Amino acid sequence: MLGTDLVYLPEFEKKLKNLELEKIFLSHELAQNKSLESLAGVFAAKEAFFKAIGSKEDWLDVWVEKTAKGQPLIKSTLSQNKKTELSISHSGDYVLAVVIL
Amino acid sequence: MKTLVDLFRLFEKRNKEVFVYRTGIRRFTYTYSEFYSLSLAMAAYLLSQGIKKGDKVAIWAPNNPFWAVSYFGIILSGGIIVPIDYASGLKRAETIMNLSGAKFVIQSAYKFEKIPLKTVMIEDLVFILKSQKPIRKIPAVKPDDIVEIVYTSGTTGDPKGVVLTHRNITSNVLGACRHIEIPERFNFLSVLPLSHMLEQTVGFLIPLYRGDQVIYLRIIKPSSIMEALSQEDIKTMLTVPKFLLLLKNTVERELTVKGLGGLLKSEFLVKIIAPVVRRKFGRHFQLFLVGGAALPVDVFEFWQKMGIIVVEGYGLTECSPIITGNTIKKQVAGSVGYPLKDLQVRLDNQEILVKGDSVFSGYYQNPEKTREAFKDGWFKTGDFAQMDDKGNIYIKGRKKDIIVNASGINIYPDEVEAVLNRIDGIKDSCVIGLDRGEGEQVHAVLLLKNKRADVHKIIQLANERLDPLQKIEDFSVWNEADFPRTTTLKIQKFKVKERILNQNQSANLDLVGDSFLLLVANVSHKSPAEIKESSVLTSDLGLNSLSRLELVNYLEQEYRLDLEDSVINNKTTVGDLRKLLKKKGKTKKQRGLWLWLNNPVGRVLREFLDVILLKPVCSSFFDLEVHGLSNLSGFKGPAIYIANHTSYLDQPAVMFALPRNIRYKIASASREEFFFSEEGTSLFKKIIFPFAMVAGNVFLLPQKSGFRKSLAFMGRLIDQRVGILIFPEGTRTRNGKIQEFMSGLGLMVKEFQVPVVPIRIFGMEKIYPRGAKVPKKGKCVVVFGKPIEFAYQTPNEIIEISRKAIFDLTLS
Repeated sequence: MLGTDLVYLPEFEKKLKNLELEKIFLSHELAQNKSLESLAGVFAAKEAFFKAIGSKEDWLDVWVEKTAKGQPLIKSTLSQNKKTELSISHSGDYVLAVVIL
Repeated sequence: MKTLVDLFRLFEKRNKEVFVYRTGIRRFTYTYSEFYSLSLAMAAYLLSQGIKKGDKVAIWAPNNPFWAVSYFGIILSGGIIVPIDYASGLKRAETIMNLSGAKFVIQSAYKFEKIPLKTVMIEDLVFILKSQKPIRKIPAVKPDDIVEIVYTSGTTGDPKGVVLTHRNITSNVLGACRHIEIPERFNFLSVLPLSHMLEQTVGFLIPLYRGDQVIYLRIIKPSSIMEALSQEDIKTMLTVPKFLLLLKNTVERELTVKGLGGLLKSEFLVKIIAPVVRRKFGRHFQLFLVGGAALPVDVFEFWQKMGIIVVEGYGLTECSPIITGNTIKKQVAGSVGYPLKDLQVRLDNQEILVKGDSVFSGYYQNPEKTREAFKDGWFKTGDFAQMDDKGNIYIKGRKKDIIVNASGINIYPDEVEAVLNRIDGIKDSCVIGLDRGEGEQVHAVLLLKNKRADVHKIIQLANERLDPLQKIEDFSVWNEADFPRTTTLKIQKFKVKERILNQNQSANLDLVGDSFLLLVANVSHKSPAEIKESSVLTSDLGLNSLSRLELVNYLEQEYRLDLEDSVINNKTTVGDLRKLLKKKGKTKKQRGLWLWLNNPVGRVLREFLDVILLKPVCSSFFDLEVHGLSNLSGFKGPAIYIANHTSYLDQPAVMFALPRNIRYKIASASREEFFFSEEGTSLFKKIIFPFAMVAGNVFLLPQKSGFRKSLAFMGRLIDQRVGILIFPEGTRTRNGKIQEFMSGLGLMVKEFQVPVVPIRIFGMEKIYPRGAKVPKKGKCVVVFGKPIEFAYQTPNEIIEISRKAIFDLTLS
């Protein structure tokens, strides 16, 4: 199953101010992603994951971790340990995430 | 008690709970003596970070026990506290840092914007202070030493740092405590920001002085407040008028929906309904303490009718902060009560002047403003009032027109105006707190250079530049050449307000009345006229993942209810959402979570079943050998026990391998999908399910959705010191090898903050492997490893470490 999400950075930056981050991100995600682009990437990855499983669940039930090499992994309590692949890309004002389940 | 250090010394020997921290999953508690040691460790930590006497240390973090630890830690390290509203944006926080010259900041991981200075995350303190040796000697402080500098406004205008000493604060704590006369043993729920003196003195220092308990919430939202009220023994909470008003509206709305609105009109029927309403606040809730802004008389009377006392007080940061207050015994509607005994209060041309120990000595590094604030040694509050013959004070007007929002945050109109006036197209602006029956809203009145300017754009632009807590909620355009002004050319705000209120009643009402539609319009950047009830939020209105999140957020604030993100899917229409808000979407109950199994009855039942049934059956299948129990000797407290999964008999094997005192204090997780699959449930499983629940103390852990509810259930078990056994592979092995672990384990460890005990099972794959019909007799060996403590690891690191720990357990 496949899911994608595209985030427009200026919009993300604006809205970030008014969101309660603890409802969307786990603490390690905020610690590992200090730049706006990379946090937007995490957000896009979560949304892409929900599209891949076909239902919207809690933001905190899926998360992104970086390996020592910096490669992003996507993990979830919802995927029954199925192998899940994630790719994130950014260019200019846009961040795109693709998830395959 | 002359200083806060004197207060602190009282904590050492008190053996009761001071803080409860409810995360939504766990309930962490701290005793006074634990709090005492943690604060000393915090002081030592700050000293190790180079904090010296007189250095300023900022706290920009949400309310929680470690805010309290930081507060006393800073005092004990000789530092000066600079509290910053957690709701503030980075700009405001940095302004305050610069003005105060703070060198170190305690901030939160959950704010994306961070202050780039020497810092520590408040969430990390729990780990840091564990290994930190406390300071040995409590430093001597004098009553006139500075405790904190509290900034009363931030980004623009004239930020003023109110310098408060030990004498100021302790005198107010003692004075207010005596004045209000709160009965013995009173638990406080803390929802207003601790960065404000109102919450600090009344909701924090007073309970600490009295030896009461304070309950903090990780996320302050309607459901977590109501949950805390029903599960904790809360007697009071400190709040602001707007919150009480919103709560009143919610109660009235709910009654109306049920067709019971009429009950409120009759004196007699109210008496019947009142206990039902009161019940929602828990069994012992008695009192709202309210301040910060004027409390409307009808709100006061509503709660009085419901049988909940509302005690209104009045104060200012400059007075640490309480000046006058009603008392538990007597409340005068519309009055803020009479002055504290130790304070001198008089009216000068109706302006309230105050003198006494609670009154500050000046603004930080601002002699000019300090001079302006005093008159012959009296502090000029800037507020106007009348006094009746009994000494009760009635506030008539506030000089600064401060707007107080539902979370108790002060919004200074001049700061908002300053931002507005810098935007192209605006000639002048006037920001007022407008009350349309929902409490004061930040309302901007604009005087435009060009009548055709796009006002929506201007407001949007302003809101982007404004601090999130100052947001403009509503606006109107001033159609005359200029605002009404005084001879000194100041805008006469009361006149503007009067006219806007009259105008709005006629012109804007049809639009404004539908606040829901307006919200949707705002978020989707469409005009309200374009939005139909049948519009699909995603495809017709173009809501993307971000704006959907934003909408849910707004709706939660507006309607004071919790929505799950999943309420909006790609087919939801505007009408669907509206219906949902009316019904207040019921959440699905998770099945297979039986808490009673862990009470003494459940435990005895299990022990009985073990003796007569399970033990004989199991021992007919396998001989048990146990290794590594010494790793658990002396281990106290709950843990997450994790084992490899080879067979259905793993669970009883681990249970019988554990010593009896641990065995009956463990619950085991089972895959929900094992019992209830989408294809239907076999009769056998239907019968075996309740038996497994009782005999094995099993609960269901879903692997598809609804994990959060099970997480909260497990959190409650851990709170009751019940351990949890899970098989993190999720399913039994097919080839004898240990499979990948389910990701949920990582989340569990992070949320529960308890150690993990690795367990390895050998031999069971031969006794009763996957696919076998009946077990064969054989030998099973269970090996226990040392408990592993985790701190900063990420969920995946936790999983890797845990998995390796099981791997490393061998038979030798």
